Amino acid sequence: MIAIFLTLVLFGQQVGAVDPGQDGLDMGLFFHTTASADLQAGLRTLSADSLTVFPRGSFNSDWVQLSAEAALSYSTDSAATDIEPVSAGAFFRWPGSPWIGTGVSTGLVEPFLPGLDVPVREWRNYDVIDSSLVTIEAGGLLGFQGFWRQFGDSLSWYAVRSPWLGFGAVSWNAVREDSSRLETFNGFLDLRKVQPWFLFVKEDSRWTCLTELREMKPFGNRLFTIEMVPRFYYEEDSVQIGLTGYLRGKNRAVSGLLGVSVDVADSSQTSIAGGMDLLSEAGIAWSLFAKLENLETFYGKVSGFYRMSPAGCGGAIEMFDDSLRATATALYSPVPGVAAELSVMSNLDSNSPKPGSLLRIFGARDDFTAAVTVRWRDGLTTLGMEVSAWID
Amino acid sequence: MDRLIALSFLLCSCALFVPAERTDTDQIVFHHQAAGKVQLIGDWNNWGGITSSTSMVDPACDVMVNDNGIWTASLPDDLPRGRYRYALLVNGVQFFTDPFNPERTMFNEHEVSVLIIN
Repeated sequence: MIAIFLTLVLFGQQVGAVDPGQDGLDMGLFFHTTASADLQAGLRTLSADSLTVFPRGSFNSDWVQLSAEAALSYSTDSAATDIEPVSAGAFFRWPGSPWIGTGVSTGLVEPFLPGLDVPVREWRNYDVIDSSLVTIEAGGLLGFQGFWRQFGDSLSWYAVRSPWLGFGAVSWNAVREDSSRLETFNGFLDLRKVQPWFLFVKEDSRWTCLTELREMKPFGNRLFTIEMVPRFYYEEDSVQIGLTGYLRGKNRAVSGLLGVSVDVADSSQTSIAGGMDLLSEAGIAWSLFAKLENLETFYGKVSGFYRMSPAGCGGAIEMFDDSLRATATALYSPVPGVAAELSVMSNLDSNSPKPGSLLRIFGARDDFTAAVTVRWRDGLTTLGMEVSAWID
Repeated sequence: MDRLIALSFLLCSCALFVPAERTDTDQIVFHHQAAGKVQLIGDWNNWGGITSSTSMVDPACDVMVNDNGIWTASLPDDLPRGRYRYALLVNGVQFFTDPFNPERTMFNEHEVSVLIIN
């Protein structure tokens, strides 16, 4: 029994959601307000959109971590102040152990299921799921971690994540939303010269599989390496294979990629993408990107920006299929942390999307940010203001 | 005279396109002379969100260290292995991708960088 306990302690790791931080009480306050106006109707239309204060507090000790956050918001329409809990949590751990413990919390965490190229489920794809989220987490046993998150009465999310197993790591997620169910199993193996990454997704009865072979570096010197990444994607009615080459600068500020993806059953679903970023000795940041999706939709962008103090300037040209758009940007920064930026966008032909321009003055120092923005778009001129501050 | 012009053009082009030296390959590095603050936000810190539903970014969240316009940050030590999206937020208003990282994707209508921890 003692041997089992010692094994669990030795292999135990921290619960992911808990940051032990410094022991003791920690208090703080976050302040955020926004305002806007329609300048064509005059400055009298200026009104505060939101005014919110978030007090936060936490307590850490060897045994326990407690945290709480609330929102005090003021509405100019009703001249009323609302107080709402934002999050609260309590986590307990076995003192003296690396981490064996469990905890419960409630708050505004959003559903997110990681994928390979892109996530299976995104943050912010959902309407605001109110603060009825409840989380129960546990971890420490052999380094495994797990949680159950319940969003209202419609969405449940379960997850188990392994520690580093010496040759790889895996995780499992399941989301139940009303009558539908989504499961993912993903991870990777470290085989020294190559790392297979895999993701299996089961949505109701439909399977999807995505694999990549990473860390294959056929060429490299003291300046840069080239990594080749083959990809394989399987869905019930589609099989795609792809290959991407990545250029990574070692001692030089340069990076790039070139990739192609082909649908085995339908060659018209072929996509090609390439790009390069470079910061030159002269201090100019260059960026070049182009992609051709399904051999018909083209997007390309080339930009250069000279970003020095107290002034900078740059430009970009974007091409969407047969339309062309140009942007010119100028920046002036009299003191570090305060800058004015003017960005003017123009169509180079009649097919281009409607241009928009903006003038922005912003300042930031330590835990404080403020911005005033004037936008011109679709014949409208709007003024926006935003202030955020974090007070310890 | 034509040769002189051509040589001058060639020299200028070299200065424009020769990559600058990196300072440290183990850190996230970003050059911005006019920034008062650059924050490293991503999936691991919930994109700096105070309350994620309102998309507000905590001005104190993961501020990078400034050395004469070269901003650096180290990743959290306890980051589990996996793939993470991240971006550089300048002065709380401007999103930038990491120019030293070729892997990109989209998040919340912004192009962002992808970090692989293995």
